[in-house]
Amino acid sequence: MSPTLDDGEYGCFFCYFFHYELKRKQIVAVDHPHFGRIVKRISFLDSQGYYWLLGDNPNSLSSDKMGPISPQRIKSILLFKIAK
Amino acid sequence: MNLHSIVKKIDQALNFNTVSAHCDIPCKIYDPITAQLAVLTMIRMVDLLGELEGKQPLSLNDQAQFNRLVAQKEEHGLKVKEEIRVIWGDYIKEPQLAQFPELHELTHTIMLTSSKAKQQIDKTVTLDLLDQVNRFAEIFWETKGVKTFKATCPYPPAVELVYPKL
Repeated sequence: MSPTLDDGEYGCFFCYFFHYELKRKQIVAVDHPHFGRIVKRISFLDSQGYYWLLGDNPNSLSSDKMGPISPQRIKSILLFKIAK
Repeated sequence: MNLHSIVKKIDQALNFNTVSAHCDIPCKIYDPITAQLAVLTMIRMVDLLGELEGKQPLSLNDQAQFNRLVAQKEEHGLKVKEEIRVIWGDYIKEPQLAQFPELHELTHTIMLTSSKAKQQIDKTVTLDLLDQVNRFAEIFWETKGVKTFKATCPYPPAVELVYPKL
């Protein structure tokens, strides 16, 4: 997620939210079936109700590689970060 | 003491959950051999195209072969660029650049020579490309503290390649 989030930085995440509150461009923590606990940005919500994610870095895992994400896998929303 | 240090201390006590914000999965598997083999393929394609040049007129099969050889040369030219670009972009960092300041220019030269080797059917250009990619491989292994040696590859096009002495 560089340059938005750098290695070793802390983030304050909010867990108590309704999924309909999720918006495009929000940074979220996701429990990914293959990549584990990752932090990415919401790209869009598709017509099937799945979220698609994006990284901020051009070398980020592509949306295709991350695949569609069910709302239940989005665990929290980043409120703010604590930079080094 | 700044906020980050304070939170770090709390983290050490409470062990916060961590999330990965990495880009590509950091597998750390880099090896210039893929780029070197792609250049060998380009050289081989040029050799085979040269053999076709002697056959005139070209039969339908020869024409099909011509198309395949050109397509493979093109594809492997792109592969050379991609493989070198990944090592340069993901693996090469400040310490390697300080050790080998020529790396940026060498990488750029490889990009240009790959394009030239794709545009033309010219063995000299592909051999120049091999020299440059071999040099890149030499540097790569040296940054890892691995010695290299040169040997002629035991298959066509039988040219000299840089190998790591593992």
